[in-house]
Amino acid sequence: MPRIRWARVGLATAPWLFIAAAYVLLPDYLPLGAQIMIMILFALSLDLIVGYAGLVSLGHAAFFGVGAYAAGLLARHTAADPLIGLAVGALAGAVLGLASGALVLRTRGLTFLMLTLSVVFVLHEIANRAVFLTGGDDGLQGMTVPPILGLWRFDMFGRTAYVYTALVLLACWLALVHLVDSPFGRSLVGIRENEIRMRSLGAPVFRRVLAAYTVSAALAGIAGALSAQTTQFVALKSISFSLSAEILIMLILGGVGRLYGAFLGPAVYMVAQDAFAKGDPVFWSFWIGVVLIVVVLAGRNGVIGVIEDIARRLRKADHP
Amino acid sequence: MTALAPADHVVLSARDLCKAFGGVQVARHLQFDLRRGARHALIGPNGAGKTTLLNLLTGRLSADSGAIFIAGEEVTHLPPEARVKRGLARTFQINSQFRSLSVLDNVCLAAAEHAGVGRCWWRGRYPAHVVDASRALLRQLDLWRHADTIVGELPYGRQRILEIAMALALEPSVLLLDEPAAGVPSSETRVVLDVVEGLAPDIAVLLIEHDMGVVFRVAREITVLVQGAILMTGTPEMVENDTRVREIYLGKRRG
Repeated sequence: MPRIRWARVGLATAPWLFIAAAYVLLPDYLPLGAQIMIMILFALSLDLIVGYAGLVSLGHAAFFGVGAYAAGLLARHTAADPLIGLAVGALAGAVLGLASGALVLRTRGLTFLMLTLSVVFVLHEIANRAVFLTGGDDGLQGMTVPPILGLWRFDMFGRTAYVYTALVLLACWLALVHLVDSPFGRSLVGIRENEIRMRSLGAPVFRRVLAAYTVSAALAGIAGALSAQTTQFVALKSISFSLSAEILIMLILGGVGRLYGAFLGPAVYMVAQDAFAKGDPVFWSFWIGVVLIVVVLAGRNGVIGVIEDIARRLRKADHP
Repeated sequence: MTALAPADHVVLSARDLCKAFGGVQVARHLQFDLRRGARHALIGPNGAGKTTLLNLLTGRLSADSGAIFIAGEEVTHLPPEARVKRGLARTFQINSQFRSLSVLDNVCLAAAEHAGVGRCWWRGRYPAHVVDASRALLRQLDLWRHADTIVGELPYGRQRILEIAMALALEPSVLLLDEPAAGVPSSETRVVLDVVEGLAPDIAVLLIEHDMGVVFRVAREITVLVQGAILMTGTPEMVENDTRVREIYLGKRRG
């Protein structure tokens, strides 16, 4: 037992040690690091519904995008504190999650997948046409994000943005770890494993799933708001099908239903993207494809699944 | 629960239930009462509508006409969850648990829903009373040493008992058992049967079962269902000696 507990503690602290070390050792990569952490938060939010509630969505960027535009517009038209921007992004995501969830969560499987897809298509087109509000295809520009709590100014090296993103990610991660261990989180796993059985135990499945969807959407909204604030820009791609697909790929690459997979996936994906794109900007998606095929075929559950398999084998070798 | 109810208290009753799939009548004017402490078996040849009746009672199917009452309260139009909250629990013919979770987690999920804490996102874990109740239930059903076993790795007979344990975690006043011994090797039937016979005397049990040995051991009252209609209801002796039943059902099985 103590071995397992230490392994868990190690697993839980490793990403944070890495994030702290990267701040000191890789000062040139802080902007990329912040973007990776934003995608990690986005992937974590998706893991709650894909990995825990067992609902595969291809429209999660709807919430990311709405959060990004909400925080972006707030920064453009007011001088509100970035933390208020985060709250506004979370609220925008939650409201959209609740409203669209009330509709799409009445379905499952392929119908659900198509409906989540439709939601993001519709919102993408709205954002594209509402040029006066969103800047359309050019993206939302011209925002000035004031210092955090009036104290910490966003600097050109991305130091503030990195630390700010890391702290928000830490807070959201702690909340999620608590949530998935709570009776509510366990009941989501029950719904994933056997929805009919959960119903026959008296669980109000629709309400549970809708609550999870709303929380997930709020977290995605926070990720979107962070993206807008740290880059001072919202691209139309923020609210697109392609970003929805990309985040799902990152999550599957890392491993679903573990939370740690959501750390690994975006890190591997975005570092690979950065490295491959330097060599050949067009050809990098070929390599991402190859990596994805290898990981999905080799492990049942992404990179985290491969690591778990190796750990299990080592343990068996220790105690035959 | 029903502890204060009189002994002849009707805890579940069906009135004139009808259901058709397309043109096929699968339930014809079904009518029966289940009293506190009942041990009632539902038998009949394949396709007689036993599982349909169970699904009508639990709310997975809605009846075309007729009414269902739990402890006198009409539940005909209530969803399955609401009927569970009123004391109606069921097991499934095919093992239907949360296969990647441990035995204890499976029972905890049930007990948490029963205690109304399944939606608690603010708690870091299950409250102690939920875990204690689940552990007690596992001890009572002799599943304790399997508490940490992943359900998918549990022997089949034990999975059938877990199936019952999850229903009992809901502290039901009515328990619907859908073929509790189905698929269990004869060497393990005994264990399952012990659990069914050891159920608290005040729970009303409705049992669907193909194995006549099990039926005659457990049931004090038997309803015979044929082509969606009730052929007869009576004591095991009456059913055993009924010539129509012998012809339609028992005769066939013996032949």
